[in-house]
Amino acid sequence: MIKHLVKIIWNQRRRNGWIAAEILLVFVVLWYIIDSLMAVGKVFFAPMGWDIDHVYWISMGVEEVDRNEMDSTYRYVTSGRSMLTAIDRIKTCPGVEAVGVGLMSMPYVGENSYMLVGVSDSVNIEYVKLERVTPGFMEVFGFRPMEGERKSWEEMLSGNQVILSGRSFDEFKEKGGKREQGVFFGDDMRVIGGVTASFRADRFQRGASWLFRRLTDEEIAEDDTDFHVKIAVRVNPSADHDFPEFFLRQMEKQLSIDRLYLLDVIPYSDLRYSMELRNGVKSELQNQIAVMGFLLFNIFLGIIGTFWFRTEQRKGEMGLRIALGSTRFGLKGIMIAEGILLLTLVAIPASIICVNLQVSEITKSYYMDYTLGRFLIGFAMTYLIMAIMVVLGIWYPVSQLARLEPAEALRYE
Amino acid sequence: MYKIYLKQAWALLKENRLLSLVSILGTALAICMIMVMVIVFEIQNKGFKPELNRDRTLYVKDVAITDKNEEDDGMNYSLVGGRVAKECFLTLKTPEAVSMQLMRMQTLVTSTDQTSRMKCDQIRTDEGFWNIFDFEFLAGKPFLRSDVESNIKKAVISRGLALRIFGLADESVIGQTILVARRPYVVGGIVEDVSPLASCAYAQIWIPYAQSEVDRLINEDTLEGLIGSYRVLILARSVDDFDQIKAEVEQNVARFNNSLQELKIDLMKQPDTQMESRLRLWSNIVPDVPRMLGQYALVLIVLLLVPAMNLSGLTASRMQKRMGELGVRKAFGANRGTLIRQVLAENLAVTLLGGALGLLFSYVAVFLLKDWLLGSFELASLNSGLTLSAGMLIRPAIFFFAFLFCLLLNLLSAAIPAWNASSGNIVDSLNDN
Repeated sequence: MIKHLVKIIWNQRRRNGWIAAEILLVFVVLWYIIDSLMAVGKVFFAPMGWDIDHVYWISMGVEEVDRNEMDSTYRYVTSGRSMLTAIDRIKTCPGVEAVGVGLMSMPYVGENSYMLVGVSDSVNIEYVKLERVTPGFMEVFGFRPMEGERKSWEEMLSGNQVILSGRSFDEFKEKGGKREQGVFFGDDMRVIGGVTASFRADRFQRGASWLFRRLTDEEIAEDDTDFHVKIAVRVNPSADHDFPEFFLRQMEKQLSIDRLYLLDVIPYSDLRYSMELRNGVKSELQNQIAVMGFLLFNIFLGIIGTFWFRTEQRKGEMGLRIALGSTRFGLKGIMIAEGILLLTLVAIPASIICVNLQVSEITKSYYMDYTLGRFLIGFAMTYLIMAIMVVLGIWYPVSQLARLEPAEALRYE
Repeated sequence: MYKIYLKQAWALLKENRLLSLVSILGTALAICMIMVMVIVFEIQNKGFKPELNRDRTLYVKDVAITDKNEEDDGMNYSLVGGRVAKECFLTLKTPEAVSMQLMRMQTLVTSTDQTSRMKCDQIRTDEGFWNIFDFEFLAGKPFLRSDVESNIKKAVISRGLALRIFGLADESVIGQTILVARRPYVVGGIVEDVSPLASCAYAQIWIPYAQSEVDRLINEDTLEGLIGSYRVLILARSVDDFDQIKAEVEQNVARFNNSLQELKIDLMKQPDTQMESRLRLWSNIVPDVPRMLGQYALVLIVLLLVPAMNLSGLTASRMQKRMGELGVRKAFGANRGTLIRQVLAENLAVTLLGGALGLLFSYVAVFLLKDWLLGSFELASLNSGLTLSAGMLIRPAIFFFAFLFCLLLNLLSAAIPAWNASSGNIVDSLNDN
């Protein structure tokens, strides 16, 4: 049977040549895109280790001071000092489970600072993201301590101690660091107050090397810059209905302190949406999906066009087959089998090209390691999608052919 | 002659319902994808209210500051400082209007009794701004030079903001007071809401910048007062003036650099046209518009060629039925050219139907997918969602390109089948009947 089909395909090699070339090109590009989506998807959907559900940014505004309009009785207050009062009052708001404060440390806001840390003042580990935060921050974002850690966040951050993220602690140990000796940070050795369970920096990263240190009240009070200290709250799920409006009504007057005022309450998911647009991977993937859609559309069109033409041309042959006892279903089957066989024949050179692409590391390397499993799954998915396109593309022309009466068809012959 | 072709085309379509439907849909989707790209390009680069004059506007947004003596290699990049804008650009004579505007920021606007509030996107600018853009004023008027110079706290607000604070957006609101970041401002004018896609003009409240912001202290910290956060807009009387304006800017910058002590500025080939300004992502990399247009054209060619080739199979199937008729025509002396012309004309019916449908699909697609197609990080952080106006979508250029691509698609997808169909031997063609 297969030999028979191969003969048919070979007989029409000129027309088949074009469609086969197109199938080959589309196959390889499709495989690249599916591989890319698969790799990024695996990282994207993996657990984060912290979360932003029911978390809101309490955005505060600071009134500008026009010194010319000030009289001698005006007392200039730093925005930070007003912030301390604001933080205490926010804690009293019904529904608020935890309040976290950070300086240049809030996720998804685009403010980051990095510090070099080391095992000692001569052996460096690498740059870690520096988080200057209050203990409440850890609760708001749902960080978890590593297995075996006993202290509370408050205790871990007290004094000059620091908390290392799971991954930075692993790197620390790899470079020969010992927990009892502490970590070299800034100008001196610091006690490692705690270690978190492993987490990821954002949905497109595989890990996070962070270091947390305490943001003290004095430091908050001193802040009077454009990069204000920022506040985030975790809201009890049962209270999280229209929380922004509720918070505005409830707290706006109370949070009008000296030059400080309440600007807005923004869910963290909005901030994450904007930030993910900035890092570019999302739009790259969306473009790839668009290209994939374009290719599939064209392959479908190409197959349907080729096979329609072919069924018209072979009406005589079809009539003969029916007269000789082939069922309508058998007729469809032959055409579809022909298409699938063509696809499979093309898949062989395609697989060689794709293996070469993976081995030369042209496909995405960061998100997933190059394994046989990665190739096989990607290739199988590509083959399946192409097969569906081929079957759908042949179905239409063949279905109208099968309504042929044998006598009519033979007349064509 | 063509009427007969049309009649035949219609009959042919009806005869093969399914085949015609698939051909029309295939054409529609191909045209849809092409037109989506065209529409997005138009919105990003061509003018619509209020940024109606994009084609004769020049933009300056980045300045490089270096040491005068070439020894120190350090380079500082900044947006345009107030001092730079005032001395190099506001003094230009050739353009129709010049304006400087501060980077957009978010602020809180409330009524004086604090009963209504709205977080808004705010721009601080000057009277020239209103001459550059074509805003639709519902009431009141823009602020004047005198307002800007005397630091008068006047504001122009959008319809949406007026409705939120006062419940009305008409004459009665003019002269009322609002609190902007807790300072009182008088409403001087109300404009129709602006789409964030008008990226320079968009805001929800416009107020004059303070003179004290412009005249920065001149010291080492402020790099001789050169750093700042302004953007400069220049409206030329016509596109022909661009060279003259750029020459004048160069003269002003040279004169300005002479007056500085230790530093000098470099505009890195700005002022930019609309397309250049859009492409200038990093301050120091001069945008390459021809390259961008070349890449764009390449994509359009692929979007046209690939579906055309794939559609040719369907076209050929439709031709198959006509083999006999073509044979008769040949026997009666029709030459190849006539036959091909007939095939192309009849195929045009399918293509135009598909094209019209495709244009409709493309409008729907742009509307449904606007956040992906037109969005960006900057736009996502704004207070308004992206809105599409009729002025952006109903444009002669779009219809022209839709028709043009239909014709090209028709030519490309029917050419080879037509050639094959008309090259057959007369006897074979007649026998096919």
